[in-house]
Amino acid sequence: MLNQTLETGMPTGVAESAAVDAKDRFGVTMAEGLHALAQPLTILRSTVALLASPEAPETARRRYLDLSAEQVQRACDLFECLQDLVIANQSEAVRAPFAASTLIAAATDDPKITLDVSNASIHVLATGELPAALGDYARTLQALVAALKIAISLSCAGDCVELRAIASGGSLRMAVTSPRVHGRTLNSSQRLTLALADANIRSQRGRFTFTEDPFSASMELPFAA
Amino acid sequence: MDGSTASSSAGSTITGMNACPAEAEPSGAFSALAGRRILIVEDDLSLAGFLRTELQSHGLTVEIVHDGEAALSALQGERPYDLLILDLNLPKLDGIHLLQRVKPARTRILVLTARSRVEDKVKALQTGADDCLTKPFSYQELLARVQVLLRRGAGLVPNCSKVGDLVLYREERRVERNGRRIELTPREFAILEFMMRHVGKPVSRATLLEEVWNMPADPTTNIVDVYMKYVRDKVDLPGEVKLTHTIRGVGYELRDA
Repeated sequence: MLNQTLETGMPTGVAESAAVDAKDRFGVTMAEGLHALAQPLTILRSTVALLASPEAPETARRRYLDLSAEQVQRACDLFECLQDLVIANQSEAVRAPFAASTLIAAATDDPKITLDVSNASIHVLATGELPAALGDYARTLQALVAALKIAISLSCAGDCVELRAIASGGSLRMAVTSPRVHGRTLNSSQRLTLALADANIRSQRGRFTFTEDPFSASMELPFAA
Repeated sequence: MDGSTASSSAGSTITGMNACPAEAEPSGAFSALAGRRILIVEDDLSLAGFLRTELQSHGLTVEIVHDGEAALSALQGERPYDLLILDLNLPKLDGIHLLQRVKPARTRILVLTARSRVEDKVKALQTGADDCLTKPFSYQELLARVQVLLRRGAGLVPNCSKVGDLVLYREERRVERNGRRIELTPREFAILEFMMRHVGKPVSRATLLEEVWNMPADPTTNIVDVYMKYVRDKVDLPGEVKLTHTIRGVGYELRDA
């Protein structure tokens, strides 16, 4: 069983080394993102050239076009992720109160989470009335959607992905857990997505962790005073 | 081929085969290397699948695995590969460590990498790779490099094999019997080429299905029998000494009388 954990956050008193660490992390993640892009770009370079071949039969041309469409979408998603990663490092996060329940409702209704693909469901568990959290609503939502999307993609029909929100020591903790041991390592796109979620939460001085198999991701933000 | 049956030009009917792009006759440009076995080790499922489909369309027998440990296990199996296409960045065991642990004697190695550092390529070449290709590459370039590597590797197998008055030239993809030129399709050539490597030994239908079609044993299909008939009709003309023999309950054997 794989159980790699990435822990981020901003421990007090080590701001300088954390800043250096953040720069290193940004460079490494961007390099990994470019590496991930090499896969769809390889297929695209190939299909474009094969489409130009006069010998390609009509059935093969259709297949190359379908493949091209898939890989263009994949490359766009990766570029979007890289763009968001740059923005997360480029601009300050908003620090404003928001209701956890609103965030959770928006995340579970997000069209990016395609439940129909795996027939899995999301079970939300919230302990009582949660105080308002302090942070960047948009970035937190993006991180939560990313975690749910990966958990769903690793699930099978009938699985129930759990989203638990609890108040813990003055902060809001949201944990996404997939019940299934999938036996695989996360692919480069999933890793990049998690790196973006990490950057989004870290930019709010929050804390983000994940384990690979079974997949779980957890994020923590302080409550508004 | 659509559906579970297909008619051949010779009138025989193939049964039990599902629609499969790999079953199309391999394209002519690369047919000299038809039947060569390739292992692709690539963790990106889309890219691995794409490369497999394209290489199979050129008549190559292709297997894919998605991590270093599975690759190690495949390479330690009994059936050697002619070529290993290896991505360096792999889960469980990376490409360089894989090369350090296993050096298949007759297998050529083409390394794929998205790492732009020269040191990575140098290390791969120093660890046993024969060639290196940086992503994003174009399939046409990969195919050309595969062709060169397999040609080089083919030196380990003699270009020419003989059984009685039947002669097969691998490099030229030419078959002659007593001076008579025999025209074979790429698939027929792959069957005969495999039989030539096992002269005097019975070869089962399951082995032919696996080696020539890269498909697991399937008692419901008669495709091997149908293609074997095509080969036999071309190789053994009336009045000639019979070289292709049916071994009842087993498969086929190529032998001189």
